[in-house]
Amino acid sequence: MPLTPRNAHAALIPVLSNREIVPGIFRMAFEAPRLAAGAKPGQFVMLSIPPTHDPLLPRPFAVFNVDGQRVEILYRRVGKGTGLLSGMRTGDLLRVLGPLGNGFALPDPSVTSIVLAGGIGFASVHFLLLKLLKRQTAPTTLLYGVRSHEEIIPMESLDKKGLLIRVATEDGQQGVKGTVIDLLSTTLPRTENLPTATIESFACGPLAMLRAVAGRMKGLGMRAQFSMESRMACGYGVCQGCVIPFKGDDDPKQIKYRKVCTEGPVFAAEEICWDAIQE
Amino acid sequence: MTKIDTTVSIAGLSLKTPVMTASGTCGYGLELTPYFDLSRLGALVVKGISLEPRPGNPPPRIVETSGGMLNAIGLENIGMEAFIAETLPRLREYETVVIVNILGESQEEYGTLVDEMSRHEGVDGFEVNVSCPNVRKGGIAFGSDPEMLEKLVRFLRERTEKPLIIKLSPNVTDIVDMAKRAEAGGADGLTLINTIRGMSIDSESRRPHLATVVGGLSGPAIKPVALRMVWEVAQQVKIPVVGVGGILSGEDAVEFLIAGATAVQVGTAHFRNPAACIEVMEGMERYLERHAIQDVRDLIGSIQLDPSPVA
Repeated sequence: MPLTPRNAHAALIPVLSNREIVPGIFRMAFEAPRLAAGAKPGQFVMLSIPPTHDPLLPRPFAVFNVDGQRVEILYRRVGKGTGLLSGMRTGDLLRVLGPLGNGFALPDPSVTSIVLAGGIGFASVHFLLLKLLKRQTAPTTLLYGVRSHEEIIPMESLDKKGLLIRVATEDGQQGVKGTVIDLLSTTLPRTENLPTATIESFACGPLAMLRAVAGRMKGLGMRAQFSMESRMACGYGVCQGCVIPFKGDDDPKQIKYRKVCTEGPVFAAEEICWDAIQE
Repeated sequence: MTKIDTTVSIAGLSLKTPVMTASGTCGYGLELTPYFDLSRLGALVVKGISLEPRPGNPPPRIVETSGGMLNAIGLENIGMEAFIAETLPRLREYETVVIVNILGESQEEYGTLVDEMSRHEGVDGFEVNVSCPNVRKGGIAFGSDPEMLEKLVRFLRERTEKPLIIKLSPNVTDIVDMAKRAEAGGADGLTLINTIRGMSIDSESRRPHLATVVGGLSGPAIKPVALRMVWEVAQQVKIPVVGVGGILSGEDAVEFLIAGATAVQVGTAHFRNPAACIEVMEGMERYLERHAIQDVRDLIGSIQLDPSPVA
């Protein structure tokens, strides 16, 4: 029975800043020393706005960045919850639970990394990229796909130290016209001379993207760590609402469910039973 | 000022506070240990345990609705054997009353669960989930057929000395009749209410939000229904009633006590805050202080009605 990480805790935490960095997408920082000290790339926090009961449930957000005692998230304003969040000002209090989840397993420094991000899925891999750039001796590539060029998150923190950034936009206004999958198709041949054991991929994005990436990676026998999303109530393992299907231990045709919150959100792509996931 | 007495007695169990966790919202209890000391609870009610492990329903399993949420988890659990071997020994490290919620698809399954678990120290009592379909009787839920319910309770009563609390389903025409049947069968207490059956549809895609279409509604949205049922039942039975449904605050808990509940359970609130039951407990204590009430039992059933209430 996987438990909540030992360092997880709940606290009321003040907002430090909350800016709309591109239309509809916000970057929020809050002061959370314990969280900052414990958070790993790929982990998440559950946020709610006290004392409102509407929305009733907290919402999960990936840890986007940790800077000293500050923790940052990146979110798109979509519904009531993120609408309220976008209206929060410096000094307002948030209820924060975290860090939660397993996070990405960092590869050996000699491993070549391919990081794939679709849309707001970039929020889940940004902190990972910073860690990889610090650790890896082998090159790291970011394949970043968005619908419109207006959604591209500025990446001053990443625009250095040997990160190869390749962008695809569906409107074709910037980078390659297409999706992350198109970027992957032209990136993979460049790794052909490398043994698959020396390459690791990491991905977060819409389900259709992850499904397609999983298919490619499986064909190549390449390791892939995916950060999965799911509708969540609690975030720490008690509601059992956020499960996704996996291949059974004994019989791969049997399905077993695993919780995205405590057993994930990062899973090995090949273990997920993609056929059983609804769009 | 003398210390406020918050102890209550339910089904022969002495609880240090009337606040318990609700089954299915706190896992096996151990998930809460990073956030507070389980020993502070009146009782820990663990998630429903079945004879064999259950994988649960396909996702999506939950959706938030106005003032509440729908769930169709499908009673996913690790099964009795793993619970006894892995969970129970760890729960015994805490000085809290442990009530095991049990569920079965036949009378015999409930019987085996009670037989086996009665032999284990650390199981202080049972809460019987009767919202499961009886596969032997065409899938009618035990909790929706008065005769089947009374027979099940009587069957379990003969098998255990340990406290038997029956968790009633609100999805019935006459909740008072169900409560009386459970009492007649020998129940030591009643928990009400379980979730209310409901559904939610995405108007854009015309698809239901839950894979199972229908699920159970919980949260503040159901509190008025739960309160009404607790109030109606508490007047008609002699055994204690445990109130549950949408409790978020100390005042919410107090309302249930005033309506006639001897204890309360905090459920969906744990999804907002892992220490929700402690917040409720402390809020209730502040209420008692504010009203100079020395003994929490003075609140139970203390509803103030006009001399001739209009029905």
